[in-house]
Amino acid sequence: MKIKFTGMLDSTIPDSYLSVFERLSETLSNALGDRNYGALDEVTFITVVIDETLEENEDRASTITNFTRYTHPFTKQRFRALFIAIPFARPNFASMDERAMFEAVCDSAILFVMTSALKAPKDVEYTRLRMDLVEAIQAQKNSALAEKFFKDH
Amino acid sequence: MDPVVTDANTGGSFNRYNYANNNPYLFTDPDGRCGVREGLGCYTTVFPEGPSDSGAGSSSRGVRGPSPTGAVVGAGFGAAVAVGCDGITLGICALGNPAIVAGGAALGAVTPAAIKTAQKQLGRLLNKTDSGVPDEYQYALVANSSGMYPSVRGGMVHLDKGDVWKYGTTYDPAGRYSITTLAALNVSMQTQMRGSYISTLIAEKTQLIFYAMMNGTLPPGNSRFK
Repeated sequence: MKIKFTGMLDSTIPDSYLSVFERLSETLSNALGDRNYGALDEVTFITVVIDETLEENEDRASTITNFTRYTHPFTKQRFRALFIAIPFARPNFASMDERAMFEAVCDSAILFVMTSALKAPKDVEYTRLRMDLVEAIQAQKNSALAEKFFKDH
Repeated sequence: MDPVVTDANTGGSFNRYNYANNNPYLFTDPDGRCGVREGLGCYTTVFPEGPSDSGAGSSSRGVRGPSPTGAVVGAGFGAAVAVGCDGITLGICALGNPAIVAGGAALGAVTPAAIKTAQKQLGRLLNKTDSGVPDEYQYALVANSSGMYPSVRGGMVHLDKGDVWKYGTTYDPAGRYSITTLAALNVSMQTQMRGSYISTLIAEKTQLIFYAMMNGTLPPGNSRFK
């Protein structure tokens, strides 16, 4: 199964978020790539930092988070996906350096996966997926911080 | 001495006494150097360099396209290579780039004539009025990592991390179309400006023209000057 990190962000957010998404997408897809959770092809985390306040971004995030199916616009391939939106307040996220951004995205992703009350389709093993996601994100967070992958500023 | 230099390509600012692009209804000119439209920054009617300060959000990262050394591959592109151009040397750049001169449209390259047409359309947009209600967004979709990305004009294009894949406008960044695109193409959405319908169209067209001048093509996700 594939894990992706992407986002909808205001242009005031520094480009360092791209390294955070890239690192998390690569390492988590490597960690969980060969596992199967039933009728699910990918989990996509979408960081939402468009509006000033957390509440406004939470409103947007609530419309995104769900199990869904979509068609790739070019290959026309169908995917069964879980979209998880993680909102932040814009001034808060914009002031973070790369390392703080990485930690914040990891922590929010873990918190959502642990506490969400999403209703999963019957043919998706959501409980096992949640446990594995939390474990994998925590492990990647620890290893990235231990190897000082992200610079302090 | 007048610090505003005449644009040799377009004739912009040739008239040293022009005030507010000759359109005080839409523009003000607080320092006498260029017409300023509220919320959009500095504009001249012939678009020499895009907005100079706040507003439309033109920035160095906002115009990055395929890297000059990046291969442009695919049936439609043949041997075309994205060549960096700038507004001043566009004519020379186009002449020096066979992909732009010979059958440019088919290859995805932008001809100087197409840019001129887009500039005219931009001028018309600048003279339009709308509700002024800031309920639209102008955005860029940028590559999350370096690699090959599909082009709407056919084939695949190499983009570096942070390069623009598409400029667009939307009233709902969290809409299903946007989310599907983000998930499918490994791109992020940067909302670059929030404003009224017309002002976001102006910002989008400005970005597209500037991108085309800098890169010789439209972004891979844009099929034409909208």
